[in-house]
Parts: sequence; C-alpha cells; structure tokens
Amino acid sequence: MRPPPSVGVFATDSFLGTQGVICMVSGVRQPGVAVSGAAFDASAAREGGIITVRHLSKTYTFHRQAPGLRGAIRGAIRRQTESRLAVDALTFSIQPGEVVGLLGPNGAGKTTTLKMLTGLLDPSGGEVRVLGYRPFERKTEYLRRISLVMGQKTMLWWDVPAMESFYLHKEMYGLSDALFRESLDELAALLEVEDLLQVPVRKLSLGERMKMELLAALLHRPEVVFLDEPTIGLDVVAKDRVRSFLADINRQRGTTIVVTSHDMDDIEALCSRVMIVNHGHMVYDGGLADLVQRIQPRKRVRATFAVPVEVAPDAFADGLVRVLDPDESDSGGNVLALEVEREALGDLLSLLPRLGPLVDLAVADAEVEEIIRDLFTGAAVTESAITGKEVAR
Amino acid sequence: MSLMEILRVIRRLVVGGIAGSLAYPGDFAFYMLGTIIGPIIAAFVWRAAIAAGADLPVDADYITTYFVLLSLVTMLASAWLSVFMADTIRDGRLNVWLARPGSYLYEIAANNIAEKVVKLVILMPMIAIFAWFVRDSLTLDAAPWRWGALLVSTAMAAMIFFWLDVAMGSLGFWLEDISGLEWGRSLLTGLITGQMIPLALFPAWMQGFLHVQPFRYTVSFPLEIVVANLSTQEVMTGLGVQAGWTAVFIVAGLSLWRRGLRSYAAVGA
Repeated sequence: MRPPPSVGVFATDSFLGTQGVICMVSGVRQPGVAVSGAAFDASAAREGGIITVRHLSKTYTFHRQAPGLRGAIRGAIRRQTESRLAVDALTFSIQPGEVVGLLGPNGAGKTTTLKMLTGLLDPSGGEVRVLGYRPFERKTEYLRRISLVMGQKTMLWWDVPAMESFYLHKEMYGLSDALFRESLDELAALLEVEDLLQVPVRKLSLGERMKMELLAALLHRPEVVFLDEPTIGLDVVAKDRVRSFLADINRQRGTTIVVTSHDMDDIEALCSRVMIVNHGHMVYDGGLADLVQRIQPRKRVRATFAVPVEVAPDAFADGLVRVLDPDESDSGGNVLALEVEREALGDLLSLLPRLGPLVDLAVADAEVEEIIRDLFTGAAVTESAITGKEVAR
Repeated sequence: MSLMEILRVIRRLVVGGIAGSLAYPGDFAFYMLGTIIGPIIAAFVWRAAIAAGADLPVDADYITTYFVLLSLVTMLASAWLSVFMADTIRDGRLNVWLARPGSYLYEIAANNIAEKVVKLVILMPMIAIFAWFVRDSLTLDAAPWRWGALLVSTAMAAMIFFWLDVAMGSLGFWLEDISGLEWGRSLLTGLITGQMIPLALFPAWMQGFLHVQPFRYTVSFPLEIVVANLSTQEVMTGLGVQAGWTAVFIVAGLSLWRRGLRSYAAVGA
C-alpha cells in the first residue's frame, strides 16, 4: 500500500523582490539575509488526504525568570511573560497508506505538530483534520480510529501481564470478542510474543515491552498511527523487529503511519516520505532518495587496491570527481576514496582498474544521517541545493 | 461513550487495579497496620484518661466504638491520588490517556476502588482482633437503619475526598509541585475530620464551626450516626448537608480538571 515516493519540495523564503529565490533552505537562516517568512504551501496540491493541515501554528506562552534568589523574588512579584512560536504555518496533507517521517532537531516543532495531530494540543492558528475530525475535540469516534505510541511513555500496567491492558483496550475501543481475539492472535504472531502475554510487564525486556506497546496500540486496527520515537533505547535486533513489524502492518492493513525519530535507520526502513521541520517551518517535504540526491548528489566510491596507489591532485581535472581524505583505516595507501558526479560514475569505474590491481569496490550515496545533520546545521545548504547542481561543503 | 461502555471500562480498570495491588500484598499489610495503629493507641489513651477520672463529654463505650470503626471508615473514605495525579500531569504521562477513548478520571476512580477492596480484605481481620481486645466496652448494637445510613454516608465521604483529590491534583496543571499543599491539607483534615480526635472532644466554643464545615462529613459524621445515637432528624439533616457538600466538591473537582485540561492543551507537556 505504500504510494510511490513523491517529488521533494524545499521550503523557500523569497527575498529581495525580483531576485526571486532563495536564501534559506535548512531552516537555519543565513546571517544578514532578509527573509519574508512566507508560508510553505507546496503540498497544498495534494488535496483530500487522510490528514490535512493548513497554516497550522502553535505559540507557547511561558514565564521567564532570572537566576538566583533576586530573580525568584522578582519573578514571583512581577512575572515576565513571553511567547514562542513553536510551529509556524505548516501546510501539508498525507494520503491513506503513506508512511511519513517527521524529522527535525530538538525544539524544531515536530513533537508539537504530532501533539496537534493527535489532539493533545489545541492549535493557536490554522486548521487540522485527521480522518475528517478536528483532533482537539477528542471525540470518541476519532480516538477509536487512531493510535499514539510514545516510545518513552507506557500505556501498559506495570505490575500485571500485558493481557490485562489488552482487555482494557478491548473495552475502551468497543471491540467484539471475535475481533479482539483475531486481532490479538494476528499481532502476537507477527511480533512473536505469544509466550509473553501472561508475563508481568515489569519482567519484560525493553524490546519485549515495546512490542507489547505496539500490540496494544494496534489491537483496534487504527487507520492512522502516530509514533513518537518508537525504537528509542532498543538494541539493534529489537529495532529491526519493530521496523519490519510496522512495515508489515502498513503493507497488510494499509495503515497510515506518521513517525518521529532521531534514528535515521527508522526513517530509511519505514518512510516513503519525509517532512523536515526546523524552527517551526517546513524545510523539506518529499521522498528520502530525492532529498539525498538534492543535498548530496555525488556518489561515494571507495576502491581498495592490492598495492598502494597514488593519484595526482589534477588526475580528475574536469571537476566531476573529487579525491576525499584518506580513510583512517587505510594506513598503507591501498584505499582510494572519491566523490563523483552521477553522470561520471561509469567513466570512473572503468578508469579505476587501470590505477592498480583492484580487490574491492564500493559505491554508495551519502549517509542519510549525514545529510540530515547537515540540513539541521545548515552546513550543506546553499542556493545550489535547491537547483541540485552543486553542493558546497 | 455510552454509560454501559464507561461502566465496562471502569470494571476492567478495577479488575486490573486489584490484580496490580495484589502484586504487593506485604506493602498493603503494612499500610493497613499504619492505618489501625493510630486508632488503637488513641483508644487506649482516652480509655485510660476516663478510667483515671477525666471529665469528658463522652463515655468509654463511645470512645471504644468510635476508634474501632474509625480505621474502617477512614480507609473506605480516603483518597490518595492528588500527588500521583499531579505527577502524571507534570511529566506528560497524561498524554497516553488523552489519546485514548477513556478519561484519566476513570483510571483514578477505579484505582481508588480496587485498592480499597484489597485493603478491606487485609484490614478486617486487624479490626476484628482490635475489637476482641476492647470487647468490654464495644457497642455495636445500633439499629440496622443506622448501619445502612453509615454506609451511605461513608460512600458520600469517599466522594468528597475523591473530588477534593481531583481538585488538588488538577493544580498540577499550573503548579510544579503540590506536595506542600498536600501536606497542609493532610494536617488540616487530620484535625477537623475527627480522624485524630473525635470532634465531640473539642471545646464547646468550637462545636458550631466543626459541625458546619465539610470535613466533619468525611469521617466524624458517618461514625456519629452509629456511635453518638443521633436522632432520626439529625441523621437525615446531616445526610442532606453531606449530599450538598458532595455536590460542591464534585463541581469544584470537575471544574478545575476541565480548566486544567484546556490549559494543558494550550501550553503542552
């Protein structure tokens, strides 16, 4: 049920009138450049989604207090109230069956967005519709069609077997005996936890507990599942099991999944589409592969030779290939690390065997984690990132 | 959700709560020992005072019966959820409840009922042993209607304490820590509910205030129905006043809870 990856669109702030585009991509505004703050509206064309969000904003009000006793007294007598725009005019829609990753650095606004989508927070502005409902009204009919899994907050009773919590969910979600049993058996088999249903939750490992959380969250067959850091704290085996389970659920049931995670492996394994938020703005909305190609269009080539090889600095004078710093693990000069434009990859691969006896060759895109990190910090972002021609580093 | 669905959810919450409570039977035994130790000591102190010729407005039978029944009524009427509730609000665990079709209030109500069921089973034998030791002046021969009125009154007392706790716990929507307030509340209610000293033993000039304030109706009044031999008129009037106070606390608790939820949704957690 996963739809094809959509074309990625960067949020852009126009500046200086007729010069048109573009000075801000990563969400880290470039110093000294004026930006208009225009709302991102690129995905408005995708109408009629299972989730539709238009110009969604959230402003938090908080009290500021100076440190120390004097600050505490002054704060108690006269409070300084300030407000912070956490989410700024987000607009997007999500189609049924999509798996969308909501990414951003800490404080970017992604969890606030997730909370507004699930009805935990009342938006300050704009509109949200999920399955046709306004989430904040928290109608029973709405809550029975969605699910929220928070990696750091449990919905299971701690001292009793998870089965007790599942019985509670049966009543909360109004499930018939037959549907409950069928759903329970199916999910327990998929997660391989049939033997753990009668074990007190406090006796389970973290990975087993997360499986039980997912089981509880999916018992009522929600149409939309919101996941907040679903693999946090899990070991690699448990992470892999959780990811493949979620992918199976999406494929078999057509469940729409919105996931926030700081683990890029989660995103790569699950998401056909990513939305990157920073400073409350939408920075990017599109396919993950497209994001990689736009930010880091060059391929990474790592060639290992049987003998040390030397490459002259001007060996690739056309600018299509760049020699990277030697690999730390290569003490003998046997490894050549290169970055190459995609169109020049074929020529490079035919050239490499002529440099020496080749024993290993690896070609890869840049690491997604690296791309995202650069996006968050602004390191990889220039105007050319939008056009996809060249990325300054 | 329909009423039947809500009742099914609460029934399941109670079952889960009892199962969870039974994971720590030793803890509960110690809690109940703590609940009954105070009344036992107080009973023996006051009985000794009477035996030594102290001039009190009540006799030894009153004191004995009062303190034997006190731990039972106190346990059945009590609530202990305000600090837990405030913690749940502050650390964001409330989110898990808000995203599901079932109010967090069902959970805390069911938890209250479930723990009382377990505590009752543990406490009753302790009360029986205490009663056997003081059987010489224990008077449990009140008319059946008085015992029925005691049950009704204790149920309303439980409602008053529950909704007071909801109100106090809801302050967690705005305050970082309510433990100081909770401590003050415990001290105050310990004094003016009749939990530490029967209200009948307070000076005459305080009786007017003590009779109208709401906390009389959480411990003292239910006991007075059986122990103080109140007239039918006094019992009925008292139950009416108690029903009024119950309504006041329900409105206060619900209002603060709902206002808090709106505030929570505005600032997040």
